[in-house]
Amino acid sequence: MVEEKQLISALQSVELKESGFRVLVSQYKERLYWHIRKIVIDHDDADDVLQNTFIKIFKSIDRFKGDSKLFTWMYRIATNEAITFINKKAKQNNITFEDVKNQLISRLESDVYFEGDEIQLQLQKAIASLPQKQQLVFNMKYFENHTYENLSEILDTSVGGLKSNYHLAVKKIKAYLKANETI
Amino acid sequence: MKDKKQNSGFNTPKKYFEDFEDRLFHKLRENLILKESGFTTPKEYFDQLDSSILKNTDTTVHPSKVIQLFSKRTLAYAITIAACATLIVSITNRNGFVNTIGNIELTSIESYIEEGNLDMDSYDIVSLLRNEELINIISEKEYISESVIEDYLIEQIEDTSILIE
Repeated sequence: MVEEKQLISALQSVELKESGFRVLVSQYKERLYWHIRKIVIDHDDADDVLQNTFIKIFKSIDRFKGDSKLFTWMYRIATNEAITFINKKAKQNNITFEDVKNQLISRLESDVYFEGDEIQLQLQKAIASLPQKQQLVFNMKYFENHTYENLSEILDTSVGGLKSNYHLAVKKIKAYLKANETI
Repeated sequence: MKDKKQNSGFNTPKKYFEDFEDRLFHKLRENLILKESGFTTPKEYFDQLDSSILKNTDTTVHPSKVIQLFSKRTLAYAITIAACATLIVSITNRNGFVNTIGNIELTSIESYIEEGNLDMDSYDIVSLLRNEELINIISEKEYISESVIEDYLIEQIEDTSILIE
């Protein structure tokens, strides 16, 4: 894995920008994809958002000042792109963010790129029933194993706030699963 | 940071991540090319632009040439015309010709105006008319219907958008 400092200086130089960007993409594409996928649910949508995220990163890398870690900065862009994507869908259909997520989850059973069993499907339905912020915190903590400190930087929220968001999310998910008698 | 994606149930098409970079770079090139117009400028064009604009903007004030309103030649013409006019009036009056607008033939007045001899605006014309004549004109105007005015305007005005407004 290339050192972050080295990578940033390559990305910000004219000669090495493209080769540096190739390294960046190969290093982060999977992590960013799964992060985006859990927000937008559909694979094709995740692919679109991931490409747009990297294009945005490429275009604005010169303005990156190193105030935060590079991957934190990229996660923030990816999160914004994914949420903006869902919000656009919600606005087009005149419904809420949570409604869009519920619609997407309801299509999961017939989705060829979803191979989860009944419990995993119920878990996704339970996550979709949460408010937007709790969905984000739960996905990033539970599936992606981010530390609260990382999450705090990415989501610009205090560690205390994140902990309460996560615990509330877990509580609601348990209640949802219990009500649907899958555990 | 280990991803537990295997537990989420989501999957991707085969070789998705292998092919991703090719598709991304293709899209990136498209995106960057389409955002550029293709137009270029000569070398250092913008560096020299300021000075070339300032060079072409001559701010020094030149004294303007003053043309006298009443030159001697103009004055001489005016005196001659006035003398001729006085002579003509005195001759016609001597012949018992009563010089009023009413006695001049309408066609003569029309041709006189059409030839561009009348350099008067509507205020000058109004000042020549008597009060009764003005009242007559105003009362005649009342008989002109709106549709007639509209037809006239449509025929005479090129920019009909004014009428629509």
